[in-house]
Amino acid sequence: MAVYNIWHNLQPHPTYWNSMKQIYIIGQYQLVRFLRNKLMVSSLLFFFILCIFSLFYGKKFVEKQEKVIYPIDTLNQKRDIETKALLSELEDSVLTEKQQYFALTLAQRKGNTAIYRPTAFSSFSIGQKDNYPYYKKISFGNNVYDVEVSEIQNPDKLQVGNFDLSFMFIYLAPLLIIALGYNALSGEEDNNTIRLLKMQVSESKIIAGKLLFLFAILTIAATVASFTGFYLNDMNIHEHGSKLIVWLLISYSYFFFWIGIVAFVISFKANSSINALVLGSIWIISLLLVPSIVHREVTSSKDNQLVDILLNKRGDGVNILEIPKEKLVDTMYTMSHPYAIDLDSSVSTQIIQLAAGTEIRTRENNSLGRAIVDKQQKEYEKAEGFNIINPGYTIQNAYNRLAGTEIENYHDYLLAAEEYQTRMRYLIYDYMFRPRKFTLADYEAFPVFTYQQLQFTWKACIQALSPIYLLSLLLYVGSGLVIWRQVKD
Amino acid sequence: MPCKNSISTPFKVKELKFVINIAWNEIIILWRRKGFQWLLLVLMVFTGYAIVSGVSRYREVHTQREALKDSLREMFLHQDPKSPHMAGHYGHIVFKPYAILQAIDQGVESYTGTTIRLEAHRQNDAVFSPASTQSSLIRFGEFSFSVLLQVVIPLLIIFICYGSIVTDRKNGTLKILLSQGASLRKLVFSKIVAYHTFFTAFLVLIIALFYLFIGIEIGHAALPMVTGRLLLIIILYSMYYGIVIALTIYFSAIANSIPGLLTSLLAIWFIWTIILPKLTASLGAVSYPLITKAQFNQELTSLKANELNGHDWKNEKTKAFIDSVLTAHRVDSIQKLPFRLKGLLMQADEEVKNRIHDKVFSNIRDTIRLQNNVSSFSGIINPFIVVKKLSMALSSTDVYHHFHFLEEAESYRRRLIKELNDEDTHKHSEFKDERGRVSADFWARIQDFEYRPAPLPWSLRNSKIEIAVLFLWLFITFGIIYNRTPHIGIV
Repeated sequence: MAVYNIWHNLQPHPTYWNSMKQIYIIGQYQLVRFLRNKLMVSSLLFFFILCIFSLFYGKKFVEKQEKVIYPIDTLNQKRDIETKALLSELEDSVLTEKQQYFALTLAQRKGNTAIYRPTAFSSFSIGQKDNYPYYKKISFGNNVYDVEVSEIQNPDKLQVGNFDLSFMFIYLAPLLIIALGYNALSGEEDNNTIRLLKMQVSESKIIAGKLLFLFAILTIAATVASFTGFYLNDMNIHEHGSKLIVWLLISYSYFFFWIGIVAFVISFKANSSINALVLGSIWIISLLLVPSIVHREVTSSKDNQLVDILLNKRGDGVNILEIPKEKLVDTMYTMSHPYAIDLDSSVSTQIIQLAAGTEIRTRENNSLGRAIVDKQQKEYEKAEGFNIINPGYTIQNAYNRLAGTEIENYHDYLLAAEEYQTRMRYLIYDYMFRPRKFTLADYEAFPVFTYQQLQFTWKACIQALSPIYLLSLLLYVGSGLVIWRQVKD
Repeated sequence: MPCKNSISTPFKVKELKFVINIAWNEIIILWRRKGFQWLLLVLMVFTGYAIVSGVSRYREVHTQREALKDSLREMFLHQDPKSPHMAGHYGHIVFKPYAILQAIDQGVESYTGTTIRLEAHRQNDAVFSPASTQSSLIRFGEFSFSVLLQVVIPLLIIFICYGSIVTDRKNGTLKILLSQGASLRKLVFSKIVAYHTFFTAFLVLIIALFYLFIGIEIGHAALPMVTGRLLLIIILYSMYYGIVIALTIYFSAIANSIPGLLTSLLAIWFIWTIILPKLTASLGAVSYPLITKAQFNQELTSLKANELNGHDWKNEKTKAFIDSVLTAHRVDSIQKLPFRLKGLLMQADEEVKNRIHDKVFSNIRDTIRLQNNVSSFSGIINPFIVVKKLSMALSSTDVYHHFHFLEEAESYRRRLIKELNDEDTHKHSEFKDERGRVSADFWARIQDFEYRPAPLPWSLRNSKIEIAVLFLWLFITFGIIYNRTPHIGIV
């Protein structure tokens, strides 16, 4: 009996079911109206066709990057086979110093192209992937952060941006929501059907039913488009299924937010033209003006730091030859090392000087690059601080982080490249300080650049979208309050 | 009997008076509208922000680049003594100046490199494009005057003009107005004149304000360099607003439903401004794909393989070149030549490489031009793209102006390397020490790189398609309105 009482209390009140039924009926009514309106149906169809185009466009972009990466991978594999064959041949012989050096040089070429590969979701959200270099040769002591033009690009095309699925969802979906929802209430007034409807259901339920219908058709369209992209890009459900769910979560959250804006605006019960004007203005302000103004406010010129990299590359930086030899040796002993080095008395001073010179120059080069990365990171964080007024970017950023195409992914790749270079450098120091035969087994153990993309987890996604949820909450509560006040008055 | 002209003249004056009266009334009504006053205020705030932030960004970047330019010139003048050949490898670093009109239209400047290292044997591309150091926020666009002029004001025009005729029809006042003897055509044209006058006046006002600000920033002496371009910018946008106003009023005259009209106009604006530019640029890129960097390098390598190589004296072409020099000077050994062969050989090598690079680079630029032509021709269905491209051209911030900068920097590099190779050729020179290293006096003789921006006629020559398409739009728009308006139903 007690269990029954608890169960009974948990059950929604019968009026709740009645309200739900009424909202459902309004949704059905809206579906019929929608299907009868050729313009609206064709708008949705147009949206869907553009989504498919955007998917093909994204796929083509990824294929292009893979086309560039493929010969690099092939060359690395070829070199790997050649080096292994050579080392096998030399396995039983005593290596001369020259051969020893040669073997070590060959090892350095083992997978030394640091590649920032496109992920499966890069075709959905290209982000800044077309703007960042995505492969670079890493050598013993080169500058990992050296900014080179990696691919030939048309600046006009870069400026216009990419026609990917994220663009469709961020820019076009809100317009579709506005076009289908701006007259949810006023349209009934224009058609003189509002009185008839109000006799059966309240205004709030009319709005809820209509907007829920809108949310439903948009989520269906977005889900179908996303699944189409999923199969178009040969994605695996086990590997990418969870990411697809995060992708859909971001999309649904954004649609929910925009429907909240429509709900808030139409709750004031202005006429259709005023609603369209206000919603159109909100679209412009939130997707064109706010992001561009935030961008203007958070970015600054990095010319000075960038030129330092170029000067260092030219040889204007630290001149190792000018540092006294004793000081060079001392530096190697005093500086902190990320990997253990064995500098016992048997190591020749000349070798230590050589290593110290490389270490100083490489650290100098990379520190300049990292200074820029730090500055960019600060700007990026500053921009995130405006996310509460910048919903378009919040969503774009979430999509890009999922797709691995945002600046934080690029930074992570650069840091991984530097880490790889350091590991390789210290292993070579080890061979320099403790000369020994470089065998096939040593080659097999030599580091290769492997990069694991940053994971965009559920938790990170919810955290990133928190400004959207907060804004949505405010909008729905706001529209509820407006309607409540109207009813009260 | 009065001649035909004497009758028609007072009639035309009467017509003109009618147009002026209606236009004047329309402006007064517009001015009194509360909503309009608010919109204007918001627009003025954005305009003020665009001017101030644009000019301050100019000040920041311009100052920084000028300081860098000076310090690099100092480094160039006071470089360590080295042979002319090594000096060629050391080279020089030059910067793209930040043009003041970037404050109006940023164009593609964020997506092009700003710094070039000029050195022997290599034609380096410009590096450090600002966009490559930023997050995806930049892909939402950069706030500048052009965002207001191209995107916001046309939208404002739609918001203000969409109801100009359809509201009168809905209220029944259109019938009353036309019953007083005026034709719908005259009414439509009067309204176009009214709104166009207003928006052009506004345009002139904000550009004048901008002119005043940049006058303070760059000094009055430099103003004539931008005056012509600014005047053409006014004309360009005035023409564009004319098209948008005319179309909005025409659609207002044929529309039956006010909300339907507004959503249709917003849809057109969106398709013009957001969808078509991206779509056509993507189509251009797919239709005329650019070669990859690997293909580019491969092409360069294969072209260079069969040519003279100044660093490889065993190369057949190099040998033939040396033989020809010896023959021409009737000597049998290099030592007997009255000059150092190395300098001459390096210059020959340089010229061969220049020719190869010119060929490969011109192919790339041709492909980019073909890609961009796709969007230029799309101007036939989208006047926005035409205005966007012309605005960039007039602000010297389109891709062709970037190429102009690259060409200027490259010709400076060629002059610099030639000077060095010539110096290397001399066995004895007042600028060289006994070890053949050039002195500081030599560097002082070499002028620094001063980029001379492309002149206005050059900018316009690159935009012939856009100019033709813009006039076509004007002609067709007003032609349609003139011919079709009398056939529009009044009720």
